[in-house]
Amino acid sequence: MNTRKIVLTALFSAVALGIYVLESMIAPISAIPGVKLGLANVVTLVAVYTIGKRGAFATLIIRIALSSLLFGHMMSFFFSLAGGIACYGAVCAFQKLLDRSQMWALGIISAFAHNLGQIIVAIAITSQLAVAYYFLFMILASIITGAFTGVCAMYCVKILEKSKIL
Amino acid sequence: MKKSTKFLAACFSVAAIAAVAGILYLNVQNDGKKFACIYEDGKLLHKIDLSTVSKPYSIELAGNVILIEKEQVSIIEADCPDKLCIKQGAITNGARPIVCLPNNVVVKLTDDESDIDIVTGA
Repeated sequence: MNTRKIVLTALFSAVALGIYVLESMIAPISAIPGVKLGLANVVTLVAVYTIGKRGAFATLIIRIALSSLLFGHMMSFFFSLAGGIACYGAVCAFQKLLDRSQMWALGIISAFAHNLGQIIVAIAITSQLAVAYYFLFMILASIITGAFTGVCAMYCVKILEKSKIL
Repeated sequence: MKKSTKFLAACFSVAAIAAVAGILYLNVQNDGKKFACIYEDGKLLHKIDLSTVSKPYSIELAGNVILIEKEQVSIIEADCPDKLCIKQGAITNGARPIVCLPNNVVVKLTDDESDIDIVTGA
């Protein structure tokens, strides 16, 4: 990693943390537990396209560690970590298969993966398979929120590439 | 539209339809599951036959208060900040459980009659 990349990674981490905190402060968009926009995921997507997979992973881990340390509890750390890593894995796996104009799909896939990771942890903690019921709602929510974050990320990448900071 | 875009759209549509179908299927009212099971840390604490409840009463756990009513059960108090378990409302069938993750409490309905609390008959 060169200095530019390290600085960008730090910057993205700060932005992700800021967005995460902002999102937790606005009211949840639905009463169904776990359903939210997932705006911090925009940063992960943008990071994968601009500073590469390693930088994106660093951004993700820094954001999760800091947000859990500052605002959450142990439980939220494991949930965020499971969701975040599943989401990152999905983005890396599908990034090559999809082109730039299809980032909305990448957003949906990453939202799926994020929810799947969290549901698996929820099942493991409660040892109740019935918790998987909520995944049905997550699928519907993922399609909407994922497409939204994906489109956000697409425009962010376009703007960043036009600017000379990368 | 590109071929792969069409394929993606088709996949997501199928997933959405399957999810809606699943939710509708599981929410068929009166699936015969009337025994409320209350779990804490994966252990069964109470099992109550909801059809025999004549007067609503509540059960207090370490961090939650659970309201038992005729044919339905809900969590009405929680000591966590986001109260997601309260927002999940009352359940009347076995489609979905009520989950409180911070306290690791799960409330669900089953049709398995074994190990019912004796006190509830009174």
